[in-house]
Amino acid sequence: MGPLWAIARNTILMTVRRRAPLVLVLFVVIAAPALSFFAEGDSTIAGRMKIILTYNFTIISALLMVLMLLLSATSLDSEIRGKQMLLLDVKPITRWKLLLGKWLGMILLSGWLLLIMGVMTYAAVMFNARMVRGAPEQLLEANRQVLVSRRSFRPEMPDVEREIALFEAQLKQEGKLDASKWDGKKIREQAREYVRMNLWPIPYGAGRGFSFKNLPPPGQRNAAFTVRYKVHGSRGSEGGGWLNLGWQLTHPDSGVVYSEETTLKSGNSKEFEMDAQAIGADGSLEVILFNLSGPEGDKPPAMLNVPLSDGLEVLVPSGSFEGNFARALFLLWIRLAMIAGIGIAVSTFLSGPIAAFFVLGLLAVGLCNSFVSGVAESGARKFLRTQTELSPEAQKKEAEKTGWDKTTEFVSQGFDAGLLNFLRVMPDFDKTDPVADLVVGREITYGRLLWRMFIELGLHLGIVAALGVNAFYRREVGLPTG
Amino acid sequence: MPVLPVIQTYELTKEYRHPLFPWLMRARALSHLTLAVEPGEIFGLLGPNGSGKSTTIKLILGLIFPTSGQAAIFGQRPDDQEVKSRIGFLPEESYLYRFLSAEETLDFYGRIFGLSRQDRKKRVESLLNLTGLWSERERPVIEFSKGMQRRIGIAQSLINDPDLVIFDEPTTGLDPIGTREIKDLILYLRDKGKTIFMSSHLLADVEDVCDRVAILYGGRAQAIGRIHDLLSAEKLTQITAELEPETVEEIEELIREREGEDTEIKISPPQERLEQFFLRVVNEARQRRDETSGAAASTGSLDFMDEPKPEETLLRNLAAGGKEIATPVELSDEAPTDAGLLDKFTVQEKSENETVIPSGKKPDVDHSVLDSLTRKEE
Repeated sequence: MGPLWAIARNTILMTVRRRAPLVLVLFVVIAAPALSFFAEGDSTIAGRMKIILTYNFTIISALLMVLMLLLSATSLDSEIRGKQMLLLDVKPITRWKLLLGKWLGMILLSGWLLLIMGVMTYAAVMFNARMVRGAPEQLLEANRQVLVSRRSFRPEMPDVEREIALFEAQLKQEGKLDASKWDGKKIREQAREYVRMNLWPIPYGAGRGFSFKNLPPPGQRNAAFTVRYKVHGSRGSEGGGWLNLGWQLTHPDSGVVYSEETTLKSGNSKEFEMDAQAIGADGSLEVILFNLSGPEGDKPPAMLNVPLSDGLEVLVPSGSFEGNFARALFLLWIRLAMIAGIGIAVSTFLSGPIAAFFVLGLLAVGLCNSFVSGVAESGARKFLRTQTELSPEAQKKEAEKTGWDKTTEFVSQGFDAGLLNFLRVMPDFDKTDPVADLVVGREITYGRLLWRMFIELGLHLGIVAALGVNAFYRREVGLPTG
Repeated sequence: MPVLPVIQTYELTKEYRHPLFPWLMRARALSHLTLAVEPGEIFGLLGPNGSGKSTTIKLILGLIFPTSGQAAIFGQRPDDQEVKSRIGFLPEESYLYRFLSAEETLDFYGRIFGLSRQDRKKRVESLLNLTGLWSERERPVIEFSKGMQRRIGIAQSLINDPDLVIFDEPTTGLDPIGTREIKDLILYLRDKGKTIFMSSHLLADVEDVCDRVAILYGGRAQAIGRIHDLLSAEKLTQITAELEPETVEEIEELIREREGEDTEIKISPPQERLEQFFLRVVNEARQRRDETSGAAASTGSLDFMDEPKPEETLLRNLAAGGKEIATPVELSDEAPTDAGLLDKFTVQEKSENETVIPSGKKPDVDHSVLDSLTRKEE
C-alpha cells in the first residue's frame, strides 16, 4: 500500500496545490446559496427543493466531470513529458500500480469534493425548507414528495407475445417479410415494440387495468403508499392539453377501495397517496385508469398513452432521504471514477490534449445516449411501419413525400441499427442520472449501485483500463520526445 | 566463483525510427555496445553531446527498449522490481515535482521505496544535511537554483541506500565547490562498497574519480578500459614533480644527451592527459566519418555575420537618395542624389561626401543623418 498511497497522495497534492479544486468548491459555495434564494420553481417549497437539488447536482457533476477529465487525461502525460517519469519508472513500483495509484488519488479527491459539495447542497435544501414560514401544508407536501425515499414498483407488462406471434404470422402470410433484409430476431424485437405501442393507448370512455405484484404488505413503516403517474394525451393530430382522468384501485378481496377523478396536463406527472390497506395480503394491487377526456369544443376526444418507462409506478416508503441522497452522490462518484480511469488509461497511448478530447467525446455520447438511441429507434420503427403496414402505393407516396427512395431508407435504416448497437455499448449518463430519482423521492437501491459499479467500473472502465495498462507496458517513457 | 557484473550489456543497439513509417530510420543512437561494470568500481561513460551516453543509461534502466542486444543489472532484466530497489538514479536534469518542497520530494521517493516512517525521517534528514539543504527543506523546489535542484536530485538517488548508483552528468549546473563535493561523494560511495556508473562530458570529473571509462562517439564505444591503461603508453615515461622551468630545461637537455637529439619529449601538466586522449579518440572517429546523432565536427563559417546589417543598408540607401529604402540597392560610383528629399529629413547642412559612397570602400558615414532621423541627442 505504501508506494500506491504515495502516488495517490502525490496526485492529490499536484491538483490541490494548483488550486483547481478550490475554484470549483468556491463556485458551488457561491452558486448553491444563491440558487436557494432565487430558485422559484412552481413557488412551492417542494418545487424549490427540486430545483435546488437538480441544479446543484447538475453543476456539481458537470464541474467534477470536467475536473476529472482534465486531470486524468493530462496527469500521466505531463509526468512523461516533464520527465518525472524517468525517476519514477526506475523505482520499485510496477507500471500498473503507478496507474492504479493515480486513479486512487483522483477518486479520493473527487470523493472529498463530492462530499463537501454534497453537504452544501443538503444544507441548501434544508435551509430552504426552513426559510418559508406560514406554509405548513407546503412543508408537509415537501416532506412527503421530496424529502423521502420510496421504492418504486412498476406494473406488470401485458403479455404481448401472443399478439406478436399473430402479427408476425400475418406479415408472413401477406408476404411482407423479406428474409434477406430482416432476420427473425430483429423482426420480433421490433414487432414487440410496435405491438406495445399499439396496445397501450386508451380511447375516450375506456379504461385500462394495471396489475402490481410483490408489493410489500402493509406494515408500520409503510402505512401509506403513493401512486405516481404520467400521461400523454393527443386529440387528433394535436397535443392533449388538459386531460380528465379517473382512477380506481381495487383490493383483491374487498373490491374497490379508492376512486378519484382528476385533471392533468398532458406530459406532466402527478401523484396521490393511498392507505396501504389497499394492498392485498399477497402484495397485489389492481389499478385502473379511465379516460374521461371527451370532446372539447371542435376538438375530438383525447387518446391517452401511458409511457412504458415512467408512466405508472407505486412508491412505497423505504429508507431515509439522507440515505438516498448519499447513494445519489455515490452514483455520481462511480461515474467520476469511471471518467478518471478512462482518462488515465487512454493517456497511456494518447497525448494529454487528445486524451482529453477522447474522454470529452465519450462524455458527450454518454450525456445524449438515450436521446440519440430514441431517435434511431423511432427511425427503425418507422421503417418497419412503412414496410409492413402500408400498401405498395402508399409506400411509394411516403417515399415521394419524404424525398427518400428505398435505397436511402435502407441505408439510413442500417445506419440507425449500427448506431443503436454502438450506443448500446457506450456509457449512458442521461438514463442513469440519479438526480431524476432523487427529486421525486424514488429510492436508489443498493442493487442499482452494485449494478452501476459493474457496468461503469467493471465493464466500461475495465475494458479501457486493460488496453491502457497494456499500452503503458509497451511505452518507452524515456524517449527524448517524452 | 566468478563475481557477476553489476551492469552488463551485450551488443546493445538503439535506433530511433519514424512512428508511422518504421522503415524510415531517424537516428542510430547506440550501436552494438558491449560492456560490463564490476561490483565496487566507478565506471565512467565519456563522450561528446549526442554520443549515446544518456541512451545507454536509459537502455540499462529499461526506460527505453533496445532495438537489438541485451542489458542486465545484477544479472536480471532492468524491469525486475527486486533489482529496481537496489538502484539509485540521477537523470541528466533533476526533473523534480514543482509543487513539492525539498523535504516532501525526498519523503515521496522514500514512500515509493516502501520505507517506514522512521527510516524516511532519518534518511531525509541526513540527506538534506549532506546536500546542505536542511535550512531550505520547506521551500518548494521550483524556487531552487539549478545547483540546488541538482543536489536534491542526488539526494533522492540515495534515499534507498542503493547498491548501484547511476549518475547521468552529475555535476551539471554545479559550481566548482559543488562539483568537488559530488566527486568526494562518489568516492565516499565507492568506499562504502557501492558501484557507480556515471556519464559525463567533463573530462576532469571522470579522470578524478573513475576507475574505468568507455569513450563513446557516434553511439559506438571507441575505447574501453582502465584510465591508467588507456593513458599510459608503453616505452613512454612520465615524471610528476613540482619543478622550476630551469630544472625542466636541464632534464630535457639531459634526455637529449643520453637518448639522442631525435627523442620526442612532451611537457605538459598531467591533468591534461585524459583530455588529450579523449580529443584524439574523438578526432580519429570523426576522421573515419563515423556517423553520430549528436553534433558533428564544426565546419563552415558564420557567413551571416559578413552580411550588411539593416541599419547599414538604410544608411547607404539614404545616402544614395532614399528612393528605395525598403529594398537594398547596389550602389555605383555615379549614384544619383536627390538632395531635396534628404533636406526634408534634415535641417543640417550636408557635406560633399555624404551623398556618394564609392562602392567597394568602407562607407564613411556621417551619423548626423541617422541621428536626426531618430531624433537622438548627441
